[in-house]
Amino acid sequence: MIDVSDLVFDYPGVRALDGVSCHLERGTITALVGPNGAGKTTLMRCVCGLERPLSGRIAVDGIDVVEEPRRSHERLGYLSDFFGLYDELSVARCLEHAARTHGLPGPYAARIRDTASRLGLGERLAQRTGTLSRGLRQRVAIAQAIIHAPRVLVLDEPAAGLDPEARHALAGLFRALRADGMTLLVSSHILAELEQYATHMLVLERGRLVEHRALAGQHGAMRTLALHYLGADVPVASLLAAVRGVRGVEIASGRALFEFDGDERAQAALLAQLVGAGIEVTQFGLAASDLQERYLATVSRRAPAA
Amino acid sequence: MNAELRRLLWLDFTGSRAGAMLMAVAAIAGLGWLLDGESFAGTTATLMLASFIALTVAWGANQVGHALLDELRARTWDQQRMSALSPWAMSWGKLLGASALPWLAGGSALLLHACAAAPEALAWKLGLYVAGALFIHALALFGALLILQRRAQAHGSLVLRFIGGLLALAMVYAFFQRERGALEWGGHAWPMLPFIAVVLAQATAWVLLGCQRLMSEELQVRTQPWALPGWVIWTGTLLGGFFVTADMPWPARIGIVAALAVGVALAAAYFAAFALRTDPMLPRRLMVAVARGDWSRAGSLLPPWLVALVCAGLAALLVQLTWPAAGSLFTAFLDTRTTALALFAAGLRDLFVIHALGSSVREDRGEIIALLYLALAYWLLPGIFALAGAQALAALLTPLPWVLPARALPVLALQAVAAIALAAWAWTRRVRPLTAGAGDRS
Repeated sequence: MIDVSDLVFDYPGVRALDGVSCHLERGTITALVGPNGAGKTTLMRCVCGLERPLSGRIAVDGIDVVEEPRRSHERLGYLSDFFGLYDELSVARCLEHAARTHGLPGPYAARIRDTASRLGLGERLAQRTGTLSRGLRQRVAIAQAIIHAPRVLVLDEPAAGLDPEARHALAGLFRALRADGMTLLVSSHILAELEQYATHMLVLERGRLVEHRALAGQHGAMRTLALHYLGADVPVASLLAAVRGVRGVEIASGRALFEFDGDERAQAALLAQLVGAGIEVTQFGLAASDLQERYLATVSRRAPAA
Repeated sequence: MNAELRRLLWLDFTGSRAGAMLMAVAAIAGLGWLLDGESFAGTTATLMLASFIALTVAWGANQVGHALLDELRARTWDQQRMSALSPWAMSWGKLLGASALPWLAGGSALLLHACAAAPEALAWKLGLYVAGALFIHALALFGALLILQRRAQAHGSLVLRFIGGLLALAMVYAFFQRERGALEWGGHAWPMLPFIAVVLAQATAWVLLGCQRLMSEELQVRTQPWALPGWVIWTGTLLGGFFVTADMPWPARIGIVAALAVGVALAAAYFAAFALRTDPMLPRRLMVAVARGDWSRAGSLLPPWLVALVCAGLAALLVQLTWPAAGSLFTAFLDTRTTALALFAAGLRDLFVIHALGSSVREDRGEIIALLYLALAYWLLPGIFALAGAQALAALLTPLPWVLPARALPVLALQAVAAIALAAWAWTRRVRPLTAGAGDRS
């Protein structure tokens, strides 16, 4: 659904995106994570045709965004991290304006009603957006971004400033949009929030793509296990590398994270094997937060080189 | 209906506001009626025309400018940029939507003016007022787009009001002082009012095209650089027409237009260099496009100052081919052929130096340094040399293209080559070495 190939974006003296290539499949929710200054916002704005890259290609649903940004916008929805609303207009008029500017044919009433009720704004249609709370304004902004039923939705820090209840509702909405076949690219610094709905993780660091993978639960029987132990990393790495069904091992400072293709009995056998080999295991089990563990593992793995 | 027009009508064109504006106009008309001895006559006509200028021209220009700059302040511009509206639809939607209420109020004042004014050439005058208002609104939108391009809305309001007010006053002055009579253009006499009306309508069309081009840039829609050369030809022709006589041969006419086009194109190049945002990565984008043989993209990437400079160069060449060799009035006091080339060389030097300076410092400081450079090159250094009696040194280091152009030309040409090399060096120094990271804007 989103194809990025060899994307390069320069600010004066700084290469913000350095040959980024990735393919985001239809119906996935990709968490775009990385430290501040990694190039996340720049990548999102390039995908949306709001910034012109130096070189490279971006295609959304087969449309070249650099060549035909206007056409691609029919298939794209975008929520900026610092979004704004027309404060003097009612929610209904904001949504109607968004529908009209995306070239949707009328009548708009049913579409506005459906979109608003999906975002829990059904009772607020007549209210001026300037009088809404931060959470409700966020919902209106998302409603504007999805009213034309885009195939791709790009959201930059969508949960910033929202209370836990609103964040939970937002996660439910994103899952529902995904179920409808929409592809989402979401950036956030709150990894626990992304965990609730992300199916894939894309890690950017210093303008480069350092990891792009499916998260736990996305590989059928595969499960992500976390192993904490005392002592050196090397013997653990050697042992895990030799075990059947183990892959994607990431080891750093007494912690191993890996994908394991096996049931609970196989998992118990693996634990016995580890203990039998003299590994001083302190914790062993399903990774509590796959995305967070994966991200931290990636970052800590790369830290010495940086 | 245009979506942007509709949104602005929702925002501004409410029943209460429209009613209040009409009542205000009616009150002013009532005052005029009383001052005219309970009739509609001269005082009423003047008051209503002043109301039209205040409401439609000045207030309308302010509204049009704000329709765009408010989007930046309210952070809604990204949403608009993501819309499927074309640059042209966005432009005219904003132009007419933001000025709808000013047009209602000022338009009713203009109708009352028509009832009270003398009937002499009234239709042409009314047409002129309407065309003038449209021209100033288009200019306000153009100015707002320039400000938007630099993402500097803070000073936008003041600048727009200043420009709007100044032009409104100039228009009023022109109308009251020169509304009768005829003028010479292209070797023929033309009635003043229709001539101004037609020129104003054409100028409005050019400004609207300029708006469309700037809006295209904002909305990431590519355009090819034919509008600026077209405008240079139109302006050169318009100005040249005032110097052409009925018996002048065609090559001489073209020569005059070309000579004026050199000046017009250079003025446009200097204006573009200062007013338009220069993407520091542009040379690299251009190189990438050229290396791939993507000429359409390369054409769309050409910066306006460079396009204008090329126009100036072509016009200077045309002057060499068409300017009368001897005997004409113009040749008598000016070596126009050499002057055109010297002016082009000076423009080449200045614009590449400005570009080099802009590439070497922070964006907001580039303009000040460029202005300092121009003051040094054209005023301070020549003045110091003159005071020191070092005319030879002045001719060698800071030759003015219009003073002894034949002596100035080789020096200016050498300086232009050096300036191009300097710009290339400054750009290379700024862009390289590239360090990855720090890409987030937030």
